Amino acid sequence: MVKVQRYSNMTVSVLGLAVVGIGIAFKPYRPWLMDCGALIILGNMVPLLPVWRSQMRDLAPTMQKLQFLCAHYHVPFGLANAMYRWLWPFILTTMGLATAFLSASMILRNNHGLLHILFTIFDGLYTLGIVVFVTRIHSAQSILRKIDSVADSGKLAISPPTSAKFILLLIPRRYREHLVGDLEEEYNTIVLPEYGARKARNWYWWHVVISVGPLLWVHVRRAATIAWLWKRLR
Amino acid sequence: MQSRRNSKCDPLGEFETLVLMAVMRLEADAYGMRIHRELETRGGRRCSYGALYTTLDRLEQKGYVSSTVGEPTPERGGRAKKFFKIDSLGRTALRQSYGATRRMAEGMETQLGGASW
Repeated sequence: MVKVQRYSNMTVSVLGLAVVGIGIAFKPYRPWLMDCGALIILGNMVPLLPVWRSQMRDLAPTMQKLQFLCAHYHVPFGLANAMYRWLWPFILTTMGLATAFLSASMILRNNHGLLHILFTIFDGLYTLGIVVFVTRIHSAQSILRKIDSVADSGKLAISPPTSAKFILLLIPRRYREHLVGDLEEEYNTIVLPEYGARKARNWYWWHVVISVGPLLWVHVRRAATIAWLWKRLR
Repeated sequence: MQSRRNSKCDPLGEFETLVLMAVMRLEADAYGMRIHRELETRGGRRCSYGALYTTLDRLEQKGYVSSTVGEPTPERGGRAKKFFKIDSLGRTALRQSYGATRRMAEGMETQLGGASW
């Protein structure tokens, strides 16, 4: 049943794209044919809505559990995942509005006017909603893998940001090992369990930035003094 | 020579005093992270590790503290700790600094809001 529906949907989508293509080729009918093609593609999505709805129903409890586990293991959940509750109403609303504005612009012959601009905006938003929805399944899988690794190791496996560690290479060698070790120990044992992954990363970044400054300043000042002395002696 | 140096130590700055006190209080457990936490929780003083290590380095050069390198631990990503210990010269400097503050504050307890030295 689903297979037939998918096949028919695909055929209709290809038909819609073909109409858009003809519209691009024939300049006199371009706006009218392109709008017709877009309307066919949008209308074609309507039979898919119940399928998406059932997928969304399956996804919602999984996301809810994931959110709980992420909070427990201090794994970042992500903003796009946190919006999963609003994704379905968002897709429905933007899709409905895009169709309505397109139909209205066609009936009123308002091509390239306000109605058409509004259609373009809502069409973009609706496409974005679909993309976010589809990518959530992959995202959920990657989150599950992260949680598994954390639960298996029995400790927090979230390491400090790697790019921040590169900045720490600017620190003079004699301080570097101990300073980086201290930062990492405080991050792992105090900040991460207390404040969670996101705040801990921010904390790490902040300390890297404010730690590099004074240590570099000492060396800059020393180099400046040597340069000044050298200039005077010459 | 030593006694002469003892009697005339370089005056300590406010942050140096706090760091020396933290090292003294932590005794055998005085390394970067613990000193940093001690300054933050007890002293209410937020500082960067960069500032802390610069100060500890300066205190070491003055002969107020000495350092030893400890064993690497897994929570530090296999990096070694650097333990600090207050030396007799450091104790003298701290005593002088504390004494000077106490003498200056004598008779000002009420103005300082009942602070006991």
